[in-house]
Amino acid sequence: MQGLYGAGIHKGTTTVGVVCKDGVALATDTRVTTGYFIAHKKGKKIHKIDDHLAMTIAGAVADAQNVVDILKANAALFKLTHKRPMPVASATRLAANLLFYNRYIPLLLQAIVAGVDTEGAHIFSLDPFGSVTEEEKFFSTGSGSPVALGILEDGFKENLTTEEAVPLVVRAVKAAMKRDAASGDSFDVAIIDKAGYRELTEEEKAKYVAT
Amino acid sequence: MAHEYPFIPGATTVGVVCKEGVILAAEKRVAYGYLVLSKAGKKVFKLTDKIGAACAGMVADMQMLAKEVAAYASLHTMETRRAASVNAVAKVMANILFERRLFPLLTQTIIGGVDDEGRRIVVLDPLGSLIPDKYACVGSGAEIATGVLESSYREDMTLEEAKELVIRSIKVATARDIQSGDGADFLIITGEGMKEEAVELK
Repeated sequence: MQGLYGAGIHKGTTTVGVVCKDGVALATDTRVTTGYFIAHKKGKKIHKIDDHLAMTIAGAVADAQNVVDILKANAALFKLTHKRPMPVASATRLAANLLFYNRYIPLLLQAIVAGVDTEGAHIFSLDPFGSVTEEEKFFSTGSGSPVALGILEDGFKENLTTEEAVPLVVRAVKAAMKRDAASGDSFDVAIIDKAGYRELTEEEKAKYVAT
Repeated sequence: MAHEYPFIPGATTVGVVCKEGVILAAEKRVAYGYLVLSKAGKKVFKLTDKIGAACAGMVADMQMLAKEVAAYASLHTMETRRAASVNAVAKVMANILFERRLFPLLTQTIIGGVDDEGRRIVVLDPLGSLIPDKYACVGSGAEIATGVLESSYREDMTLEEAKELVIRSIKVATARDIQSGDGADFLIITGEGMKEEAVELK
């Protein structure tokens, strides 16, 4: 993906998502690269779509931000017209349709759509062509995903709470930050449960920095 | 960007947030490959009274883009009767860029300015990604300029300190990047307004 108009096309990323008993936990690194150049050290890769819905992005930033914008607008519209929050599967399907309709010139992004609805907590993964898979346990995208998946395979247990999952997703992302040169700098964590969407503050994240 | 496409001029373009405002700067060389076509290329643009843009890439594209965004910003101001925010201006530019995803405008842009929410800069790529930052460099000299900027940047810098740092980073970039040089244009934006300056790099 490097070399397509040279700039801003980043793929080097680590994002992870874990399905929990009471919600979902998401984490990403914050490094934004163009080729071997670190263009930004504090890039936002977890995006809130609605109070119960979020998306992590890896790939071309412009493409991903456009999909996020469309999803945000449609989630708000859905809530207004149907008087209930948009189901996670519906949001994922909408994004998948956007990706599939650009089949011949794909939107270069890998995404995790995660959230909580009446059916419970869900994590879906999306590829650039619009394939959708519902992940039952956890998922990871980006160049650091092999490292992160190793940690998740080892550390995941059934019926984790979001509070218990936070150290796991942080550990997965931090391991990938160490062994994947395209991931690094810092990390972001978000939790979605019945109470809604919440990002960990700098103080909350600080206790994991040393590990 | 310029390495892969010889028809795109290189550049060193810098944006910095400091205590009193925002500084945008770009050197003035327009070079196609090894040929210096102009020593007086202007790569910084006023978009509103308190928002500006500094660009790298195709000069025609950045000029048209800046004109269009400035027009949208003034329309927005007339319709809403208040000044456009930096975010709004950046988003309008991102939308224009993303609209042309299949035939992109080949520019990297740093939008910077002062609004009700404070001082901020945002970086855009040719496809229209939006990334806010405290300091940023784009263009063929970006790697070199970033090295200098990063080593000394502080958020609480005064305008004068920040300007000195930007000059230093562009100087180093022009010394090592063939496609950058010939002095620099500055756009200095504070709560009071915008000031344009040209600096000779010796």
